[in-house]
Amino acid sequence: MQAKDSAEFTELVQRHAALWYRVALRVVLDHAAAQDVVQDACVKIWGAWDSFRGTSARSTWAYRVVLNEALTAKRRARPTETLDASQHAGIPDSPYFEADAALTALYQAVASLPERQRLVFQLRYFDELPYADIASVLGTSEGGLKANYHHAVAKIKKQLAELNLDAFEAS
Amino acid sequence: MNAMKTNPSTPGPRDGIHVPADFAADLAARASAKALSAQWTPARTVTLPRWRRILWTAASAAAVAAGVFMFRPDEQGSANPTPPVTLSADDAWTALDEGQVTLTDDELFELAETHGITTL
Repeated sequence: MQAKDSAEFTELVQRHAALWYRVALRVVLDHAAAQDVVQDACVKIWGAWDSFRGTSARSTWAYRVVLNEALTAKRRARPTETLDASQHAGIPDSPYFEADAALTALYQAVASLPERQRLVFQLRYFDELPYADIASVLGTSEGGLKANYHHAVAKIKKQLAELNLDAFEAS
Repeated sequence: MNAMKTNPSTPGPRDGIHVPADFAADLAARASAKALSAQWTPARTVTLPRWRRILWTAASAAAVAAGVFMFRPDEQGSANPTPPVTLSADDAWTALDEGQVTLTDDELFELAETHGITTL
């Protein structure tokens, strides 16, 4: 059995830690919790390093682990002990988050989406992942993803229009 | 107006989360260290005969795909087998979280990866 390559793992973490933090923060909405998610996800990534089957890029596989860990952390957390008013509105609490009124409104609109649409929108729009990668991360078909994204964009545009904010650029 | 571009002079990520390089490096170092040190942690108990684990995994995969979850049979219960208990996903997660189910990380991870499960 081939030994785990800790150098390769460390390099992967160094290269993607910032992205993973952003992914986690957008789900758990809390700076400290997002860091915990990244660390716990890394434990799982390293623990399952040898089980990676190579059906997608290692980074895509790791992204999926981080996202799953964030979703799990969100479900574990009790709302009364983790979320303040702004977080209830879907706004991340982090020193590294900056938003004007339009971006704040976008986050609020995204928070109102069903979970699947919200995830697809975040991966596609915020992280600009190709549909093939999103399909791998979420374990669904590209066709379904495109439909989810279409519906998400339509709902967000409608909400932003009601606030007299111009539509964002969504491809 | 583009809702995403909060500062055109310093374009950043569309989500408005600007992660400083030093913070990212520190987070990576902490996460890597935690992961690499965790490799010596003994795995949680798995004493079922292999065929029972295989059967349980297959049954659980089907159950999860159907939106429910099943407890693995009691490891001590081969003489008095306990019937599987079907749970909602939320209850199953609570059981896992509270340690009522002895599912190893590898089993859970492989199950989720195999079936593209993103939430429990």
